[in-house]
Amino acid sequence: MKQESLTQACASLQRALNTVERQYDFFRELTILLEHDMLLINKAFEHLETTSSELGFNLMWGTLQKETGVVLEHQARLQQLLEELAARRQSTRIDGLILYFSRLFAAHQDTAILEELDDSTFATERLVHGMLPSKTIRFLSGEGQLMLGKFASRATNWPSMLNRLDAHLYWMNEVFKTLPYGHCLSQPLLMLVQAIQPSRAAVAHQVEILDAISALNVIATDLGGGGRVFALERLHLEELQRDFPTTVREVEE
Amino acid sequence: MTNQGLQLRSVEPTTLSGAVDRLVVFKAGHERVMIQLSHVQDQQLAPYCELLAERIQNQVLPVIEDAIEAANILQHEAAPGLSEFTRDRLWALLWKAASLPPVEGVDSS
Repeated sequence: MKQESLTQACASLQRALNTVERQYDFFRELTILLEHDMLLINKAFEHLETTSSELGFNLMWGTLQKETGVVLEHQARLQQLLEELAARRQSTRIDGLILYFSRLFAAHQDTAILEELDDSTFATERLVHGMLPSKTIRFLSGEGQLMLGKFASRATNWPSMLNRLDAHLYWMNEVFKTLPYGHCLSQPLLMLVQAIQPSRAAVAHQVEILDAISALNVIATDLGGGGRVFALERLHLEELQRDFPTTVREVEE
Repeated sequence: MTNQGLQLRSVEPTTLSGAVDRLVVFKAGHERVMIQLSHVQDQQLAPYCELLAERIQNQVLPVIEDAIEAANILQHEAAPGLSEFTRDRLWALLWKAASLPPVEGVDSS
């Protein structure tokens, strides 16, 4: 009976680990898209300081690698435990593995209980390496996945890039809000949110220039062509303009 | 006698209403000064008057013309679509015209 309930708990944990692994994949994909967009922006603005974003991405990739590594380790050990249980051996290995999973089981049970309760009780969720908080899972599997779909089309001009950056900031802020204090993803996320700001400002400036040029053209047409000031302002704006960088597409063989 | 430069200065910082009209009058005042200067017959004064007229022609009138154009742009309904730095540059043209020496000895009516 004890073994049966243990097997059931293992199966439930297995499902949870698979879910977490999938959510890490979504998170990784979102981060890849963000990195790609940032590389494009940095290509257009040589003057932008890239050290903080590079550090942010390095930290993020390192954290993700470490956390997914822990998930894989959990999965491998869980498999081991299930095999031991299936063989119905009474070995010390089972005790050792149960000890290994004790905190994970507890966290998994906590999450299951919290998911049934209303949102206000979220703060009590415990931190376990390799696992994601329930709210993060909820966001990534829902809105996060939808956002991945929206990011599928590439940015072709500055206004669309600005929308993408705002969408990136949105998902990062939303994920950040779901993380309890001290979660290992918090710091890299915060670093990336800060690192994006100068790039976002540069892109917003380009959008502002485009809007100004079109407004200036409308005014020039209305006022009958425009004179020296129009020409000078247009020239000044065109000098500030940056071409949208072209992306190098991989050629499929 | 009027001091149109000062009048313009008193209008510009807060509102554009009437700025174009004032600038046009300001420009007309300078043009009248140029005409007056060209009619000076005194042989000793004439070279200086010619120099002054040339300065008005080359250094004052273009500034006022640019300011008129800038004011027209800023007054247009599409002007809010302009970027802040463009608006700042246009305002700078207005300020430049406002800081020109006032037209003395010319009746603006």
